[in-house]
Formats: sequence, structure tokens, C-alpha cells
Amino acid sequence: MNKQRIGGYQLVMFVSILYIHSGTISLFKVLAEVSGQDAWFNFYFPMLYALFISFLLYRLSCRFPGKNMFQISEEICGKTVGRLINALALFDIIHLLVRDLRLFGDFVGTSILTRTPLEYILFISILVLIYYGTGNLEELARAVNLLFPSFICSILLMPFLLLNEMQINNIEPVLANGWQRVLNGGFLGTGWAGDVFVMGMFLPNVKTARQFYVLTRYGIVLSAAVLTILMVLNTTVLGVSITSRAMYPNYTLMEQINITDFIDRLDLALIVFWMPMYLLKVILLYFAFMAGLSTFLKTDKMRSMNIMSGWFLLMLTLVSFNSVIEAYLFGNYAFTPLTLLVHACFFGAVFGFAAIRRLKGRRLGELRADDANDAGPGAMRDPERQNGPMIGRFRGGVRTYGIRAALAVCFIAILFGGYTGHFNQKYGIMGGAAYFASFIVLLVLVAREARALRKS
Amino acid sequence: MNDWLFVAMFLTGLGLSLNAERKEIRKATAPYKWLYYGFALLCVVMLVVYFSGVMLPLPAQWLAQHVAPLVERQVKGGLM
Repeated sequence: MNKQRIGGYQLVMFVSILYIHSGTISLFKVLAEVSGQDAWFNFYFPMLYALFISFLLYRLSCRFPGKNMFQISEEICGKTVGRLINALALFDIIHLLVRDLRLFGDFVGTSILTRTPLEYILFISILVLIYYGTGNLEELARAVNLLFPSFICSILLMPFLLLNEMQINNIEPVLANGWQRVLNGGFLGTGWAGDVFVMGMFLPNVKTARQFYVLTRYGIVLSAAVLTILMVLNTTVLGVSITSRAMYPNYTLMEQINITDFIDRLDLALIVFWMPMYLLKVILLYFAFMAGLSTFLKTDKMRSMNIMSGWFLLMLTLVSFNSVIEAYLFGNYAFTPLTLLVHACFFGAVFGFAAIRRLKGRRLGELRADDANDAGPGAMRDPERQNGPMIGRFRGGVRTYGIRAALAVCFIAILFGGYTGHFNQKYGIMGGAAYFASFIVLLVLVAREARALRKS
Repeated sequence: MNDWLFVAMFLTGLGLSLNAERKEIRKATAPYKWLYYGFALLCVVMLVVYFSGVMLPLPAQWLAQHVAPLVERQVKGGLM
């Protein structure tokens, strides 16, 4: 699996489908419940979290090029602790799969194939997973390559298709309820944004660590922008109360498309792009799961395990929840603490052990340096004294500082609007406008950086 | 009817998989065999559990029942 390469824009698409489809089924309802009309600011904090995770993975990739995060953790933490935290991460990935499969099954069962039992929807989905599992990552990348542009176009077209249904005053007053509600909504989104963690299983498939960092960042910001657009549409078209009460607000939003009197079932055309993309996200998670198992078992021959894992996941998905409400509560509320805990344990252990090793190496180096003073200048050249080289390390330029500045302006805009929005509505609007403008700048800068990387 | 059809399809699929892969599994390492047959056994156990209606305290269910209400209260109740 390690020899398969994924191209730059394929990586962007992978990250985008992971992040965009994290919440398209049910998250919007919860965000509208928690943050009301300010829910469109909710994707900022999860985006920061996803960027942080991608940065940590990039640092690991710099130190250990060509290895996935499980191999890296075993190398740094040793066999026992490494395997323990890998098992924890694998547990997280299994539950990502269970959560997404169950939400997908429930959505299809209640909205599209209303007379088909859940078991059969999941059965067919698992067969698709197994089928893709017998192939390789490049084939999945090609499938994503085929569908992703249509999917993004369908989302970018939605504001125009829904223009006649929009009521801009639905998002007013802007930030009048304070920034805490935005933070609370952001906390819930963090659990979904944490899905980016699984990209650590594909570190060996990317050419350089720098490419991984720049393109993952582009994918994350692009996804946050797309989700923000969708949330604005939900709020302006459906209003806060319907968005927070509808079980699947995005589907309800699609149903609102009415162009003249006779083109009113465009939702069916759009769902044709949305559902396969969601399934491709689940397949990507499945690949991460298989890569994790492969690292555990130290073998590349995973064909038979692929089929058995598929059956196992099918039954686990069915047994894990009693009802759609349980799956919904698990995905939207319970998964965030689990994600944060697993990520804290994984990265805490990996970076903690790395720091301890570095300290030990330094002490050893100092002791040897004392000996070297007696022995002569040639003895100083000890490889253990030096830290490992940061291969493919990314050195930021003007654009990187611009990206950081744009992120900071977004944060300041939320704080400013949140603190002053309830005094005067104009301040809230100013905060919202500054946030919107800086987000666009951020998106342009990360896109330009990704393009510059391609040219270099 | 639907349930029995699903059970038949699932068991057929599982049986065919075991039959098709048995030669490859014989050559595999011990941990691989353990995991493979462990998954197969768990599949059958979960199938029985699912259709008998027994409620197992699986992690996802436990989190949904015990952790989700706490988080919901935290973000909606405004403790901050």
C-alpha cells in the first residue's frame, strides 16, 4: 500500500471529502440549535483544530518520511506503548466508520429509499466498501477525481438556484448572542473536523511532507468555506427554527429549489452527486482502517482481511445503535470528547516520547562532549547528539504570514462582533463582514500557495 | 421475511468468504489468523445478538447514552 502515490489535487479532494461530508447529514441541525443565526461562524474553530492536526502530522512526516502515523508511533514510543496508542487510534477509526455508515443508512432509509430496511442499505454499502477495498488507493483517488468537481459545482450553484428563496435578514442580528455560542458550536464541529486525523495513515502516499502540509491546509480551508456557504444558505432559506428542527436540513434545503413551476425536483439531481461522495468518504475511512490493520499485522496482503472486516463492520454498525436518535447523539455530541481524547493520547504520547528521547540524546551528547574534549575535536561528530533532519520542512514565505494574519483577523472579528454585537447591531455586522472578507483572503492565499507548490 | 432473507444473505456471504479464503489463511501468520477468525466469530455473535434484541453495552451506545447528554447540557446550557 505504501508504494501508491496520490497526486497533489487528489490529496486536496481527499481532505475535502473527509471534512465537507463530516457534517452534511446532521451537524447543521445541531449547530443551528446551539448557535442560532450565528451558526455560519461555527466552522472557524473546527477548521483551526483540523489545521493543528494536519500540522502535527506534517511534523511527524518531516521526521519520519515514508512512514504512516502508526509506524511512526511504534518507532518513537516503542513496541508496547506504540501498539497501545495505535489500538486506541484504530478504535477511533472503527467508530468513525460505524458513525458514518449508520448516519448514511438512516438518511437513505428515511429520505430516499423509505421502504428499504436499514440492513439492506448497509449491506449494499458494505459490498461497495469491500469492492473498493480489493483495489488500491489510486483507484479510489480516480473515482474521487471524477465526482468531486461535479460535487463542488453543485454546491457553488446552490446560492444561485436558491436566490429566489433567500431572506438575508434571517442571519441578523449578527453575533448579538456573544462569541460563546459560536465557541460552543465550534466545539461540536471539532469532533467532525477531527476526521482529518485519518490522513496520517496516508503520509507515505504523499511525495513530501511539505506537499502534505500545504495541500491538506488548502483542503481544510476549502471545506470550511463550502460548509460556511451551506450554513448561510440553510439559515437564509430555511430560517433558524426549521434548520434546527429538520432532521436533515441540507436535504430540506435542496428540496426548496423551485425554478419556475415545473423544475422543482432538482434535489434528486443534486443527491446523485452528494451521496456517492459521502460513500467515497466512508471508503477513504475504510482504507485508513485497512492500512492500520496492515501496520498491526505487518503484512501487505490484506485481501481476505478486507472481506472479513467488511462483514464485521456491517454487524458492528447494526448492533451499535438502537435507533437513529442514538446514532445522531453519538455523532454530534458524544464523538467530540472521544475524538479529542484519542488525539490527545496519540499525539501526547508520540510528541512526549520524542521529547524524552531528545533530552536523553542531548544528555548523552553532553557526556560524550566532555569525553571528546579529552579525546580531541574529531570525537564531537556524534550523530546521536544531533536531532533528526526535518526532511521536506516547509519554510513559510509572505503568503504564510498572510494566512496567519487572515486567521487572526477572523478570530478578532468573531471576538469583536461577539463582545459588541449586543450593544449595537452595526458592530455585529462589521464583525461578520470582517470575518467574511478575511475568510475569502484566507481561501485565496491557501489556493495560491498550493498552486505555487505545484509550479515549484 | 426481510429479517430471514438478510440472515440468509449475510451467512451466505460470510460462508463464501471463509471458503474462498481458506487456502490463503492457512499460509498466513498466527496474528492474522486470530484476527480473521476473531472477526468471523464476532460477526456471528453480533448477528445473533442483533436479531435476538439483546442490548449489549457497546462503546458507541454507552457514549450516546451517557456522554452525549453531558455534552449537550454543556453546549446548550451555557455553563461558560
